[in-house]
Amino acid sequence: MNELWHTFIDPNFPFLRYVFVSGILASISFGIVGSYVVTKNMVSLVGAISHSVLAGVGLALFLQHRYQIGFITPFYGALFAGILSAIIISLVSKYITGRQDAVIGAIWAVGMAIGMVFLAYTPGYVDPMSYLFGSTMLITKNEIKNLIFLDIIILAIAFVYYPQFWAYCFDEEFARVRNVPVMFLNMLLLIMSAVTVVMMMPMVGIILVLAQLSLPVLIAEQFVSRLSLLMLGSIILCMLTSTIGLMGSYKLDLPAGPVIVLTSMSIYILVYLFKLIKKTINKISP
Amino acid sequence: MTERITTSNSSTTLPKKGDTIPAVCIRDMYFTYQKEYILENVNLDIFAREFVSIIGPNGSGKTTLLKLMLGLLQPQKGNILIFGEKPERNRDRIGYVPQYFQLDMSFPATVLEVVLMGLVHKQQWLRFSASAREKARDALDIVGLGSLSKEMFCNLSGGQRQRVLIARALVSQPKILLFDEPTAHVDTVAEKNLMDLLKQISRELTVILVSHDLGVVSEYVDTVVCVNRTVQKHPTNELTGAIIRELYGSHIELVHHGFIHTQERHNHE
Repeated sequence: MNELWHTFIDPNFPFLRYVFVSGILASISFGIVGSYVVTKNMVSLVGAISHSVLAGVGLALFLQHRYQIGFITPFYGALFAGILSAIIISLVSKYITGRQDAVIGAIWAVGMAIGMVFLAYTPGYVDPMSYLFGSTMLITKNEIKNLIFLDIIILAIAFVYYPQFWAYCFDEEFARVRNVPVMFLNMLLLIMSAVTVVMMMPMVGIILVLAQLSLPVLIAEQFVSRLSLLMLGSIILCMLTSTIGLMGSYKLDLPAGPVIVLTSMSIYILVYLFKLIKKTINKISP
Repeated sequence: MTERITTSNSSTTLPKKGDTIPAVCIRDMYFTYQKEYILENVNLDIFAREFVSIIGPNGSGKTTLLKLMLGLLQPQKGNILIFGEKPERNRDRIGYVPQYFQLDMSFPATVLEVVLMGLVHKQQWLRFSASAREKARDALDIVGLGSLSKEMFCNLSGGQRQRVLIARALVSQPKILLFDEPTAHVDTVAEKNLMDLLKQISRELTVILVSHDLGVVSEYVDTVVCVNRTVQKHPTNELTGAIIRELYGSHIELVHHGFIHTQERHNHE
């Protein structure tokens, strides 16, 4: 642990600080968006968005390497693809009434297919693994700036629309009867999810991101009685698990993404078992 | 289509036609989801402070009729007016109570918060004003749950949850209250309490409820709207076995707590 600390404060080695700081920063958006997404039961929609983000990553790498368009980084490509698929999915969930589930599943896979085709056309070898499962090597100082900017936007939207989102997540039909702009909120929430997914991409990757979006919320849900506290709890838990996971991955020399996700899962199982034991004890000796 | 409204035997006085703008006015309305009409040539007037139950067999279109009144669905032909305006333009006057078991029970919210959701429309930021909270507490008092305002919504019983949703509908001070199956999934005692509460509310508001269980509601409501693709309105005291048989098919006994549902469709005409 001491060794990790020394590397962490080493002025010549800022990389490790960027990794930890980006984990903390991304957690803010994750806790907020995750709370909405989990309570609205749309984790699978976000799954489709996060996977189709690969299309944008592929496109950006292709343009960068083939045509030397430097400013289109995988981050911006991912952001573009994520927002585009969020818009498509929100239109699908409004206008396609039958077999919605299957259509969403198809978008999920098609996004990845497009990404892989672009990567195949990209000169040189690009390893898709680091985008799929995360690679802390992708984190740069520029990424930190982007994270701060996106955090501010997501925090602002989440606060301004909090009551509407809250009523919409609890009972969409009633919200419609109260003239809450449900269609708009649905699209906004999916776009926010897309942005959040892209923020965490370097850390946990677009496949593992779902777990880090939902597990902190599932853990926090065991303890809180209101949505605002659920958000706060999820933010703290997300910060905690990503920090512990990063430390673990450094110590054990394992990729960060999987270790972070397994850390969250272990905490969830522990909390669940703790509740179960408490319940059983209460039953035996009332 | 007949429209028989008698005021003589009714316990509450129904305003006569022409008195005021009807709470609900439907003219020559047709509705379909795909090809076949679910509702055909519907003409219906429901007046202010009337207590009405919409009944009909499963699949008859009664819930569809309710959703049309809420402006959640649009008719292909004809008009629906709520106090003289389209439902989606007049939602401030409409209170809606869905079936509680459709809701996500693990959603973290207290009883008071659920009631506050009835005031959400223009609300922004986190805090609701003190007057909004006051209104929500008043609405909870009306449904007799004032003492439970800090309780978690998911910890309540079925009957209590239904009452919280009634408070959520009442908090915006609507003129008309629409219910989807208020007595489904609650026990007999809770059912009776609920109907007593609705009776009391109906002195000030127009209350319309969808029910498959005529036995219970017929003791309370003034008027029954029979739906089976077409719609007919009968004062409760004129409801005879013949009308019921026509609506539900022939193997029906008029007993309390439940009809044998048949999918057979019978028209009134």
